[in-house]
Amino acid sequence: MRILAFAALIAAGFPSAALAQTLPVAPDPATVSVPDLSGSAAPDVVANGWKYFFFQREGVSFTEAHADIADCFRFLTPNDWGTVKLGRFVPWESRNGVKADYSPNPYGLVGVLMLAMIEGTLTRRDYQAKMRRCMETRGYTRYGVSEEIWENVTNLPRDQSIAVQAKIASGPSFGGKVPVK
Amino acid sequence: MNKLLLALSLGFASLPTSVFAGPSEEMTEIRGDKPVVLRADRAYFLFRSESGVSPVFLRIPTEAEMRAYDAAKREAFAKAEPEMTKRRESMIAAGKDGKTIPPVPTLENFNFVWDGVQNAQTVNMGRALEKTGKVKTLLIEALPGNYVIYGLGYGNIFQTCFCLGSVSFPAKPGEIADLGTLLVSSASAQSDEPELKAETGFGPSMNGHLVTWAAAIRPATPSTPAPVMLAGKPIARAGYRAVGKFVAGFSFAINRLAPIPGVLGYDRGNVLDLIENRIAPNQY
Repeated sequence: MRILAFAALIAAGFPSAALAQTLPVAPDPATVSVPDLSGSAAPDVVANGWKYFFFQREGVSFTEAHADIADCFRFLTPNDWGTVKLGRFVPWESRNGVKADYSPNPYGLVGVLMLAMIEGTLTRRDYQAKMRRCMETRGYTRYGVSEEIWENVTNLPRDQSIAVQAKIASGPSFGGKVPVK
Repeated sequence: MNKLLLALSLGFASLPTSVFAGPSEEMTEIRGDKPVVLRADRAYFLFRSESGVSPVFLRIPTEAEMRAYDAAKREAFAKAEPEMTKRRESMIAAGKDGKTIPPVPTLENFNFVWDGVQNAQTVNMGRALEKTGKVKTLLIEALPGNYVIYGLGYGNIFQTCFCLGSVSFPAKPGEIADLGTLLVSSASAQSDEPELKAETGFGPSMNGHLVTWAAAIRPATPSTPAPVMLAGKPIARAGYRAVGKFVAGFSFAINRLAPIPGVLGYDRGNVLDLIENRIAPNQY
């Protein structure tokens, strides 16, 4: 249910957030509080790290990490089966809008409900896969965190979430590296 | 049942019976069942692939199309703005949570989709000009213009955008641009193709609603054979140029086209134009 809430929350922030062109200005890192990550080395946290993780890179400054994460946040518009249709104009040099175009589910209400039950998990996985391609190609490594910490940070307003994740990314490594999974 | 499989079953089941549009003015596949006649008012491109997943080709809009789009957007915004402002004000008056209150409506943040021109298309990979073993050769008839390899999709579903870097190429009227060979693999499994080795093998967490696709272009060389049916036709290797990052916002996944020696490279988050030896400008 919490995952479903996460999906609803990030969806609520779009498309207006996705359409906003401006990137947040990096705050003074001294004003940014990060959660206690000391439990991140626990075996269950590392084992679940493929689901819940943040990035870190040795030697990166807070300013650079903030710019990287803010850039990657541009690509996080959540989508479902109704919003990924190609029959549209793509203006290329300006931002695309978001349009939902749903076909009736042939399994009726049962199909709709079953899809809704797994939608939150799939939205989180899309989000994580996008962040991985965007951040790992910049040299960042994943470290597992608890589900609770991950949700608390990702559910923050966009600018705050970027700032907290940037401080984590530019801080010391923590916990265990996420195995390839 | 595995959640991913369940989602795929339910998701694909909710698609229309045929996810492929019929032949369009924008783009259509030329089959090999009759002699190929090139139209002077159409451009052509040729590529080879073993995959059933199609490239998404984006034709960069003309100035006239952009003017029509801008006019339609302004008109729609003027119509919608009073209601959006009223709704926002009522939410503020009701003391709603600040996170749920939309920003002041502007033309810039107005959520607008226009379908007057459909300039991003997949092709039906089953409609090949010829097939040799697993390799299909597709010949596409399209409107002349500059095209971007925008991502990968199937039918009208946009699966993976190459928002983190790709290439463009010109498509000239009456000519065939040879795009080379398209190599496709899931990003989760390790590919044996040399061009995809560093772009794959990231594990099943790369899969959400659908697979995150990885792709590479192996450009045509002078020794790349052209289909016999195109003997004597004007075929030239595609003039690829690197394209910087862009935001699509309506695909399930994001990725980048694999590096192409001498054309496309990467340096951390930057896309490199290896022809001009500079960072390719981003489209945002």
